[in-house]
Amino acid sequence: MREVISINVGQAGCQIGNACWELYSLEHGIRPDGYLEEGLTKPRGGEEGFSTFFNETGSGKFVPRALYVDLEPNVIDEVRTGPYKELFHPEQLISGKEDAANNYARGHYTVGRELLDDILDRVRKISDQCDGLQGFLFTHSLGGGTGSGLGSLLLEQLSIDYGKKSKLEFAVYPAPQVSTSVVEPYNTVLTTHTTLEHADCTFMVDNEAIYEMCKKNLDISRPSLSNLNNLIAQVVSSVTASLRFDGSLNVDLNEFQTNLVPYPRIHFPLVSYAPILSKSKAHHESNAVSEITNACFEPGNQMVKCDPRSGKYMATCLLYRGDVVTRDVQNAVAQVKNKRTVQLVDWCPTGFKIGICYEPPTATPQSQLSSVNRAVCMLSNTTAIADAWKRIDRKFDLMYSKRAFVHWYVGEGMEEGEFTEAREDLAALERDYIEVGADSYADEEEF
Amino acid sequence: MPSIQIQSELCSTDREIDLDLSWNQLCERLSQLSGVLPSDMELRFEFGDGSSETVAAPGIKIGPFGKALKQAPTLIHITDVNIGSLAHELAQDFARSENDSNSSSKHFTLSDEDYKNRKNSVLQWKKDQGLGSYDPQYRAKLDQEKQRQEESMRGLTLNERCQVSSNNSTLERRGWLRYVGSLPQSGGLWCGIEFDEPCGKNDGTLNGEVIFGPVKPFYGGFVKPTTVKTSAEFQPLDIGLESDDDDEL
Repeated sequence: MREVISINVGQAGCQIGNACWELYSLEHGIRPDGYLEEGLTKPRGGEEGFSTFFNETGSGKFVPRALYVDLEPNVIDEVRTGPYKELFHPEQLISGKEDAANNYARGHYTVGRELLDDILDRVRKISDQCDGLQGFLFTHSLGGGTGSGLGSLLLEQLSIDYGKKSKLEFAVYPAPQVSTSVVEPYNTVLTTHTTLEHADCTFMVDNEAIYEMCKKNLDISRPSLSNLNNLIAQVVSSVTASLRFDGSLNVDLNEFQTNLVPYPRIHFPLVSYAPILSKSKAHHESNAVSEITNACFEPGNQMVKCDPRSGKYMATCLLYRGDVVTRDVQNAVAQVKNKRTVQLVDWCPTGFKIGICYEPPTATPQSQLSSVNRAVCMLSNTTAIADAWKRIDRKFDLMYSKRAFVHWYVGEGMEEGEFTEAREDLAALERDYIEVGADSYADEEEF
Repeated sequence: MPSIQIQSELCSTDREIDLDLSWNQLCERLSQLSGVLPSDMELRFEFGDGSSETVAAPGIKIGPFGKALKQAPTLIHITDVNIGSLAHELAQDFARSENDSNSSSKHFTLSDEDYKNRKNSVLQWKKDQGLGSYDPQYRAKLDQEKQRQEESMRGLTLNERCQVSSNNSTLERRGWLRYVGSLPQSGGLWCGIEFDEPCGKNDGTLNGEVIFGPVKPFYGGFVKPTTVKTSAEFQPLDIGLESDDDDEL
């Protein structure tokens, strides 16, 4: 058994968690009350597969290996009273009474720390139900107070308690144009610094990029938060599909990491997904393997805004699901290499790693996404993602040069030195990416 | 608890807000999101029926704010009435840095010395593992390449017409050779080209530093000397863009 425990932290983390568990349940044929859909004798995915994410109780009920954590009760109360209330054991849903007020320091040091023992206790209980725990999957935002502060505190603690177990994150990165709060840049830099040595692999999603996909590709004129989260869930599902379904190529979380992360600090692969088609457009697209593979190299299919043409690739994983044969994939990859300017880091072995899960993606009833017979998710470790750090670092600098709102953090007992320490670490990360791209003798390089 | 859209110069978000909060508590909450001081706030509440209500100086009002409104708002817009406030200043700074994304003036970077001294870095990893330029074999290749580039460079004439070749594409590009030398944050030798067509990647500016020009956007680019030849012979190509335009439409 290779179980994975999902931990959803903060408002964004919990809401994405909801969208993911709804999708997982549908994919495996599990009803909102945790029992099997009519006509099934076993969940879809095979014994090994579904049990990585679900625990079967003696009574034939399936319970997600998941934990919801938030400092304020609203979002989790919705889970407690929502359509999936019976899916989760009440102990899996942990909420406090006082929110983090968008403040990393409250999530990390004061309000968040008070919940820590409780949370670790529950994690221990869930892990006791696992035969061979493979690792943890976090969803949280980098900009919110709970997501950044408590999220990083938990990652630190799990590093201590569970040593070398994998810790993967899906992290909501602040949108370039609109902030959800004025201190997002501080929270993002602080949490990234704290988790840099604890998270093994971080997949970032930027709400603005997702928002544009919903508008352009799914024809939603004013996308709601749940539209965004449904699309994010589809991506998370693609990344985890090979773990949840038997008979897939590359089933191990560790294998992802070894391929994608050549050096621990450089652990932020860019995620792209295709096809993103609305129900009305789906009939007009052939959706061939070569088409969806090519689409992954289009900026409109990226979860974070950056320009991979100006960067270099260290590693690329293509995770297909549905009706896909290896030969088509090989042709598609060859085509991409011919046509596209894909610059590789040539002193470090790079290649296209392929994964295929034969189970096609599922569209949830209320999602605008059309159901398709195949899809692909590309994870590429490109130096272009450093743009995302530069962007947030610049905002941090503009704010910190005025010491704007720093007193909110110091007021919670945080030392001001942590700001500069964190910012230096991020500056080093920017340099790390430059160093990855350095040393090349390719004629074709161009600026 | 209703989900209310919150907007200010610096933020835009949906939040669940308790209508029983006092005006003071509401202002504190909005201040955490927007960076606007409660004393500088003017609030405009918008309602589902399209009507709206503006409240000046909400911080000094008494009682739960929800009671004072005719119904639960769908949107709260925060206006900062203090022109010299921190939030205003920041909004201006952000806009300025957005327009001038190359500006590195206030961007904090590590000095070479400080970066070299860090134990946990890609540079240190490359040194420890003998990767890239720290791999003798790779180093030899790089040196060889450097020589090749230097040789090519010697045959070039600055400010002469030039041709840029590429293995990948059959399209040959022409223009003027405007710069030969090193580039910030990138090793080796480079040629700065002012292309005849917008087939470059920039305007001669890199990371905020003007290397040549600046020329028109996308008419500038930097390529390796080995791909460049200079001669007065390389006159602008008539690639027929103008005449073919109509046919393609």
